[in-house]
Amino acid sequence: MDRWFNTFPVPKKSPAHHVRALHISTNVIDLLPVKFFEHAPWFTNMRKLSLSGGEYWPGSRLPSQALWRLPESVTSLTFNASDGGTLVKIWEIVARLPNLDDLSLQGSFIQVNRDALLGIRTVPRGRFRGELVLRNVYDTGRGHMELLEILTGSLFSKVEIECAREYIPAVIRLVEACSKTIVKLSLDVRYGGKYHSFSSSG
Amino acid sequence: MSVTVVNTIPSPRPVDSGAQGLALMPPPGIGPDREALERSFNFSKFPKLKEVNFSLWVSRVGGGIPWIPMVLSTLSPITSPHLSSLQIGFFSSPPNLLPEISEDMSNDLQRIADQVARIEREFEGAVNSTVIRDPNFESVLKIRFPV
Repeated sequence: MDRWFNTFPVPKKSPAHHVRALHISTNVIDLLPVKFFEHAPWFTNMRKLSLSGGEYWPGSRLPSQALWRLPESVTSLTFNASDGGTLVKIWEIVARLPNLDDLSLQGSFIQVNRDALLGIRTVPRGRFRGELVLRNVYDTGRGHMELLEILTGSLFSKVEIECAREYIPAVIRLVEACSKTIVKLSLDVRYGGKYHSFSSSG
Repeated sequence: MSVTVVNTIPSPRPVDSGAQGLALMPPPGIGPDREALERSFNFSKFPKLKEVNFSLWVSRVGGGIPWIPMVLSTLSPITSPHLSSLQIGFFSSPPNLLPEISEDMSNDLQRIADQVARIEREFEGAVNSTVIRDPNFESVLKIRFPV
């Protein structure tokens, strides 16, 4: 992306509008993604956006205002972080994308507090008619239950969820709401003991 | 068919400690909500369903897994005409430990085996059904799955 910004210092004159899919991966402290989000509105036809990283994942460092500037053309959004931000911050992105069909959250998210939980209840604007992938839905207190409740009522065609057995009733409610549209259902359920992360590779 | 009962664990896993600091009411489905846990899907109301995958990672189970045989019992050629793939996997977690299987779990596994056999029979080969067991899981089960 450095090359991109060096080559096209004026975003308006860049070929950003030709970009359909973008994957950002980072494992180190890196301000580059912030620069991307400043330019994101110029990617006016971007459909697929994927953010992945390790300990210093960009999503946990970005101010929310920057994330709001993602182009509304995005239909597919993927987060994959071994130690990511809170679901609340991610939801600030998700809730503002009106054309979102596919949502994939594969990270291990930071504990959320009560105030943050209130924020996650923002009603999403997306269509959510594509694929839902949720991994690492194991520990309570991270907002996953609230996320499942928010997404219940969406009409996904494919649902893939990796969760602890305590979440099964909420997953059932979410999937039943998609009963007329769902084509593929994958559930990966952990029973008992200490949970291990198997999903970092996505 | 026979079932080997390795261990019986009477109570479900306690709520994870991570929720305790939040001073919130337990969300639905968390805690000893047996009634909720015994709910399941009704696949007879999923007319477009083509592919179903269930994977279970087990270290110990108290109370069984009634939702799986329950949901399998709702699959039929009439209500799921597009179903082409059914995959169920049993894995021990962590991988190097033998899972502890309760009596309820064993009974539910037998019901799952019976349902898979029924589905194979009723769909007459139209469904590619697979039951995967890792070696640790296999060693504590004597249930014979049809596939």
